[in-house]
Amino acid sequence: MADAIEYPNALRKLRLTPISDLLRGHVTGRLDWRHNIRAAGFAPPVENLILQVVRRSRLWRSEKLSVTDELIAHFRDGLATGANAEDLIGSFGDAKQTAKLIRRAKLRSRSIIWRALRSMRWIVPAFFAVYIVLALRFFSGQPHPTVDYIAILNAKTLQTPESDRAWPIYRRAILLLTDRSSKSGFWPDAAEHDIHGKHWPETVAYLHAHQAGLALFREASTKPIFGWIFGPEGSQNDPELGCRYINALPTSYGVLDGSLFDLKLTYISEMRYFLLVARADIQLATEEHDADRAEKDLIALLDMTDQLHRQHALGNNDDSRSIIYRGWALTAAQNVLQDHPDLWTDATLTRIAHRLSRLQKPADLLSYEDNRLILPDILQRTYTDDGHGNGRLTFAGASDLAKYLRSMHGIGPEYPGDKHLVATGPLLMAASLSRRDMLNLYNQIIDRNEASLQMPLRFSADANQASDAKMERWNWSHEMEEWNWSPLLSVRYYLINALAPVTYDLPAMAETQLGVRDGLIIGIALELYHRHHGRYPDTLAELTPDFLPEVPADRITGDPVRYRLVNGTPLVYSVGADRHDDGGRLTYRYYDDNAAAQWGISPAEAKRGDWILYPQRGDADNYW
Amino acid sequence: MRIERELMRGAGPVAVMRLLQSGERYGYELIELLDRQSAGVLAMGQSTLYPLLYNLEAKGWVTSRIETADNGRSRKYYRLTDKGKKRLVQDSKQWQSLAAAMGKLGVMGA
Repeated sequence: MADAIEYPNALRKLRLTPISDLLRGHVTGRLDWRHNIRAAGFAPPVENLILQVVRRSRLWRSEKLSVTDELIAHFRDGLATGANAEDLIGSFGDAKQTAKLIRRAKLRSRSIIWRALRSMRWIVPAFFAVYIVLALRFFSGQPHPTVDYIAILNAKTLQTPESDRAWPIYRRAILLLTDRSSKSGFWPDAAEHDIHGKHWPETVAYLHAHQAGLALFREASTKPIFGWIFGPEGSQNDPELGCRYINALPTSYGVLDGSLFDLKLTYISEMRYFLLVARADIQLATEEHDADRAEKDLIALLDMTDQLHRQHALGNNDDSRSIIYRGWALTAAQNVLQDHPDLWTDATLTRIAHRLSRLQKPADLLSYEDNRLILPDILQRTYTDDGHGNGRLTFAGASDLAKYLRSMHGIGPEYPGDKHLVATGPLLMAASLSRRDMLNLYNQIIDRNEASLQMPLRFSADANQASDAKMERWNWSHEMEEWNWSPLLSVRYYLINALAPVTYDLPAMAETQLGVRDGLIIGIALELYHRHHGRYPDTLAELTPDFLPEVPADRITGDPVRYRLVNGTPLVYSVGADRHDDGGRLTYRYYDDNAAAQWGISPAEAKRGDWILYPQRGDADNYW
Repeated sequence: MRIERELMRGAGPVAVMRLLQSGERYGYELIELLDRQSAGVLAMGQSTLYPLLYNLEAKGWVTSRIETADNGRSRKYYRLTDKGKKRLVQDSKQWQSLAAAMGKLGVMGA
């Protein structure tokens, strides 16, 4: 048909030739749909109707050509049946409406890529409009902190008379036990030397020379509370103890200055040295047959770890340290029992056993209570406050928070964090939970965690006997892990993810320690039985009620712990995470007494082997 | 009697597909068949038919081919695809169910 068309204008013909034709060297001009209408030779009203319909369809030229040809054929067919042009035009319908319907139908036939790009015409401006609104809200918001959470944290300590606070006495002990003018370290190397290592004589000399300091340590451990006062003007501001800590503080974090993030827990490292020195002194006292001093050092260590637990400051720093330090104390006690079983009298062993049995449940070792303060403090410094407990993330808050988190991850100031925040901050604000929802969810998590600490971990993380109630807390921690795998959820819950207390590791550590403690109490009962009967019992049941109120439950299965004599020596163990009695054999490949102490995994997933409760090896404190 | 626009929107595509079931047809032919076989009830304005055909084509239920006669005149013929045939079976069942339900209510055959 195109051959029959005459083109008065060569340029127009070229313009209306498809590229495919041009590539073949033909200038056909066959996309000129107007020319086709004229060439059809219809009466002007028909020609005009087709022209209007096709023109108003606003389709691509090739599509217009197709519609044109179809309408030409339609009218030819109509005229061929004998109908006149006026009737055909009358029954055709409204040209404008037809063009609209044809356009809509033809667009549906276009490629999905074209349709996606077309929808971007609206999406992109809409996105920018939304972004601008969000940006205005993000950059205009200002946090207004009103609550002094450090004061709340200190309230309990400040309400306690200074004579009942341990820290002032620990502080005096530190001054006696250390050299604060030393440039190589305040605590002497003697405090860190291995017991019976090549430097043991130095340690012995140090201990003999510093018994006054140790006496103060023991005195401090008897106080009801630890007594550290948090905050820049609190106990950390102590030039006599060494202002190096204070001078070493990182740079300002803007709105986070003075927050609970800004606390310096410098006492933690000091208490670690106390532990090392007291543990060495237990060994020395044992060798010197000073049973009274060894007992006092041990009780002081246990009391100090309980003080740290009751202090339970933020981020479980104190609880994780108190568990570690208590683990060292338990190992020290067991070493005395194993290597010098005759050091302590029956009465002393009974006192130690009673002291050890004070800890009943994970909540006696671990608490999340002070964690409740962290999020509200961070929220008041990073979010707006609508006066009703709600608000949104602000640039000022997010910027300083990002700066803090970068420093925590060792990312230097050269990282262009704020530039990224300018681009992504408004979206971060929109995607993250509101202040109120964030706080509610956070408190919910802490409530669940606190509740789970009131019972043995097997009741809340027993994959073998899973019930909805038991698995709730465990599932919850899994849900939190899943947030990290979703870009949206990790943004939505970013603060909770960053601040929520560890939900599994610490409870597992606490539960493991309770198991080891059970083992030590059984070890003491076995020693007492041996003294009275000249032999070890055949079963643990024989220990009750004279030497043990009851046989402790296996902390993984709930059944009584296992016991056997190996070459005349007692062995007390849990069947471990695989729930299979391997006769007290350690897990294959993991030569750690506590490697089989695992919860939340099924027996099939667990390594074969048992969890040795007593006697743990002399180097068992490496576990903690 | 002409069917109202909303009803025709549902009935039109099924009617056109039904006509195409017996073989390929071109636009004007479909208009005439609809008018004749439904005694004018399903008579469709030409401005409605072509967008309807293009829609069916976009959905993949019909396909078309252009046939050029010796005199140079071309016509576009439409026919059902396999997908369109399956759709017609489904739609026909729905219309039968609808008709039966309406009959039970006394709307039809009253």
